[in-house]
Amino acid sequence: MSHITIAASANAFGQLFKALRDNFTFSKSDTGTFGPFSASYSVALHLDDGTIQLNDDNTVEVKDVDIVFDTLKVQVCFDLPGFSIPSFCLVPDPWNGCLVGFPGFSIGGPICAPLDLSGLVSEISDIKANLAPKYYVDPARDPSWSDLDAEFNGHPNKWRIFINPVWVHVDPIDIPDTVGNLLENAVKDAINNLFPSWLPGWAKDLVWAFLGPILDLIKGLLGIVGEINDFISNLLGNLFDLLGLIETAVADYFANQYPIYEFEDPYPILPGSGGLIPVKIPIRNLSAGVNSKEMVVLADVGA
Amino acid sequence: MNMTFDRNLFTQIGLDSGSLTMLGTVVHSFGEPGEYRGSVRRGKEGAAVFYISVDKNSPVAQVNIDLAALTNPPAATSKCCKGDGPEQRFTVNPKGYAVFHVSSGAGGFDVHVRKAEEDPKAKIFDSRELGEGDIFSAVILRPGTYSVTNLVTKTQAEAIVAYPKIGKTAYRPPAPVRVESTRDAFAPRRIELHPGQGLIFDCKAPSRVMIELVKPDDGPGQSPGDQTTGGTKKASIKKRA
Repeated sequence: MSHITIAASANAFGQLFKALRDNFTFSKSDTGTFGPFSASYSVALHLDDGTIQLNDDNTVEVKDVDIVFDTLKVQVCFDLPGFSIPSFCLVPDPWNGCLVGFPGFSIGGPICAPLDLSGLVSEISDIKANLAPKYYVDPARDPSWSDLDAEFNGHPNKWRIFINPVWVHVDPIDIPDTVGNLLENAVKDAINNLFPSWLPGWAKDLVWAFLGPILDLIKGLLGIVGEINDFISNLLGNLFDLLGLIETAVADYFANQYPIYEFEDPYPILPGSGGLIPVKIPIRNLSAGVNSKEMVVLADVGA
Repeated sequence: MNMTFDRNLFTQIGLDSGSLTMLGTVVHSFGEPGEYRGSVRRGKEGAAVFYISVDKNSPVAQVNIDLAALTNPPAATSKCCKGDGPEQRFTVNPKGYAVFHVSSGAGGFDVHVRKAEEDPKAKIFDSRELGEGDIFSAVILRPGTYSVTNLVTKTQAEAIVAYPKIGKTAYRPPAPVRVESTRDAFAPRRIELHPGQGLIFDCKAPSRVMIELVKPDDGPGQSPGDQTTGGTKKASIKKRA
């Protein structure tokens, strides 16, 4: 039988989890080339909401945690090929053919469309975990120090209890349909900026008519079969593996970086006073688990 | 990204078969074999000379003669003076066609062609007055209403060029419209066109076709690129409250 038993109710455990959740941040940026286009992104996010449930099988389950993208900027760059207007005949011949084709204009070269999706919210749908106690020796602790020296210097050893995820599942980033409009407008702006100042409005509209629906043009150039939002979601989630990066970051944070609970070893049971040193007991064989009502930590008093 | 336009395409509004620009072309068939000498003029000024062999043994049914290229030969072959460059020679079958066009620049050319060894004053072909069998091909880009006048016979017609619309597919001009220029009238007298659609005048009488903008159509007043292009869906980004 263990010498020490510490219990925290499910409600208290939930409060501990909130502190854990609120301290999480993640930021990342990257660039890549994917066949006919290149892309870059910059992301910064934090977590919010969610529910936590303690189970009798000694597991902790976290659900529906919002991933709030405080920053989510994507830029897609591609080459707009030189345009020819194959069926625009300047000089039709008398035999229903074409003698001279349209020599008029060409558009071509690299074009970049920046998309600002900041404010988007995605979700960690499920984290399944157990509790994992780990013994922590402060790297700032001098090896020659006694436990008392370490406490006085603010670098005591600790027992830390982590939520150790068995799995973390981040839902695909739900890019809204409106990203198609954003991309379309970005490309339009890029082309608009190329029009010479002398070009009259009707001529610009004629060029737009020749180009046709810009989204179709973009899809053709980038080889997009479905919708633009699915393309961006796939770009971030799979091509850049942003989902995997977030899952790894969350798992590592929960399992290794931020304990849900920690206490000193040796554990101070009486503070020092009146010239007496504090009374501390060494904690050994610590284990942590949960049932549906509470977290239970068991430990022995060591030598 | 680069975008290049030939400014003349969008700033030269109106056409004249007797003063060819990029959007106008004259087609002529010589019919009779022989050696012909042609001269290109811009206004009253001679700009280039060329020769055409109309040879019944020639397999060439159509020879394209670029007046801009004739008047601006490559520097390496240009020897002296405007209109006095190296000889430019073409060949075509008597039943074939010579197509006079302007590939670039401001244009404003007319063409005279006569038999090379006959009296130089004997006019065979003058693009300022097209004859029966000649063709004037025009393309109008600028939307609006135009008057079409045969300056020789004083007959008139009206051409209306619609404003371009962004559709569900990229716009391509439809097949050209053919108009007969007879001594009494143009047929049809009212010509409806889409921008960039070809307009072919078949000359059945002496013709110099002048196309002039009467009433421009500047469209619905939307900013360029603001027209609805279709294919997009409306949705809102889920943001936090």
